[in-house]
Amino acid sequence: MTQEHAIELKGLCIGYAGTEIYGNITAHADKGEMICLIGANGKGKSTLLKTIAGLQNKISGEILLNGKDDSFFNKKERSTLISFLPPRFPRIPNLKVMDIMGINCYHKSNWIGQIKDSEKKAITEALGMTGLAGFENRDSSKLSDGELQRCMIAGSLVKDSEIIIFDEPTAFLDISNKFHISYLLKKLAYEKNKCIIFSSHDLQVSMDVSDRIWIMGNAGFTEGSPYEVLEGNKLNGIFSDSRIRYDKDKNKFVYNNGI
Amino acid sequence: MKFKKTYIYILLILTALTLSVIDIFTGSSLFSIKETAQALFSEETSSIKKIIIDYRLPKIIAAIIAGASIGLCGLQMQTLFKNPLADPYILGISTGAGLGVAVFTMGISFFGVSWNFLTNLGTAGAALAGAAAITMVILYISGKFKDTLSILVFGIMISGIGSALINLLQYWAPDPALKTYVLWTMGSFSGLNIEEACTMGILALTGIILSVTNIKNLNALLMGSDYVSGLGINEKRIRKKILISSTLLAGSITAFCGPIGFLGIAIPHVCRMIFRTANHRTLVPATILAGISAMLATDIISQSCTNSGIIPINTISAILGIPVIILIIIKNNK
Repeated sequence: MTQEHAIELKGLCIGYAGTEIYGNITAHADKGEMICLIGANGKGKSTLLKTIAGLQNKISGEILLNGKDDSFFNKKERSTLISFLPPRFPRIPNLKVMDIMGINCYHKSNWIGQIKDSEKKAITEALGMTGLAGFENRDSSKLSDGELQRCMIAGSLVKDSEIIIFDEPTAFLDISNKFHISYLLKKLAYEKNKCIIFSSHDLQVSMDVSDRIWIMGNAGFTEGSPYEVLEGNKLNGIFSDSRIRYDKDKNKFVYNNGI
Repeated sequence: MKFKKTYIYILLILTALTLSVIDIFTGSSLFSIKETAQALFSEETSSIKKIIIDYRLPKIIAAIIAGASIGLCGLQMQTLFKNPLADPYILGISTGAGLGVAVFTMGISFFGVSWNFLTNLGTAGAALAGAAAITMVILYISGKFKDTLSILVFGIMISGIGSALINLLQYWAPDPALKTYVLWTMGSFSGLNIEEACTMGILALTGIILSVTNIKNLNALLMGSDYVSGLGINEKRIRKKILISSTLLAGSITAFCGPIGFLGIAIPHVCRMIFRTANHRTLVPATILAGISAMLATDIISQSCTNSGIIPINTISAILGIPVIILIIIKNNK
């Protein structure tokens, strides 16, 4: 018997309102695995992530979650299985960290949103895990960008979803926070056996932390381990501009301006 | 922390109780404590009893209901439209009510129907119908567009058209009908009888109960659209639910007391400041309690400033509400 993947995409075609923007995506992701999605701006990285999370309808193809077709899951079940985190969160004055955790207990709390003691324990644990122990009564709008991202990751732990999908978690962070957040996600993949998919433009950090890279290339979708991606020169296919090449030795993109 | 919150609630309840007692004694004629108590609790009929039971008591009940509704309505709209200055006026719901009343009071006079036969209840019905009509339009639009800003712009445009139509009607209307309409726009808690106050109470109570069931959804909406969908919530459905409860609240106040501006924006902000929270589990009861006190205070001031007659509610609510709103704008831009 073959093992069921946490996520399996078969010839998936994504887009808005019936118009295809990217097609023929075939890939899979397992629990305990950290996957980085890369691609040029406008290729549809966010659309792909939202489509997997069920925030947007697919055009065609299949999405299997734990081996079952995604049509088997209703909104509530799917949102419990998958946490989708957008790149930036609104800063609401006076909204406490604990309030955000409470919002993540939407389906577990009572009709006016009060949570049980067992959930409170899970919240303390999640905050500890993300390095925010004792932050319960802090005003979330006064947290640093890095702390706010941690807070949102803690929210997905409170939901206890097996899959965490994070759209550009490090886009607005400084380099030290980029590493901290990326390694925090890696820790969750390994220690909590989560399946984590995140998109990023930051190859230096992503190549370091990811188990596999999904590439929404110019010519089509491809994937592989960081090593395969590098050795196979797969990164060159990301941009349509042929002057941009990925330099394996320098581990960065170089731009040939013709001089 | 928990205790502090309870103390503030108790303080707000005591303020509301004190203000209702003061309001009973406020009016053009002064009564002693003994006379008032006799009027309220004894069986004998007297002119004092008539004034207290038939005039002042319904007025206080109306003020309490309007107060409980107005801040709560503003709170929900501010969260729904992610706009700190949103309230029923911005969405055009109040203009809709105004248009209903204008068509009713002025339009009907074209057909030669005499005014004396029409009661407050007719005006109220027209206002509710107008508010409901605009809400249907807003509901339809909010189903088409997810973008809250477009809906706000539509609201403002609908207000514009509504006001223009009202102006046209006023231009053609005969004097007595015009006077009735203008009096309604000034806002008042008086002139309601106990049956009307009860009708208003039932409508508002339905709105309040719906609002309480919205608490979780309102909190989730704070986090933005994608986050709401990520929680497995049907966003369109909860938006509709919030809009319906806000309309019930706004419609019942406007229908019976006329349009009351600015307090709906100001009260939620005052509550956020006092309780230092954005959690609707605290803010929903807080806006109800603070709204009651604010409305009773408005009513007391409107009656005690002059010796003759009453200053329109809308004048006092503007004087109390606008400074708070300006403070919010200054604070937000710092």
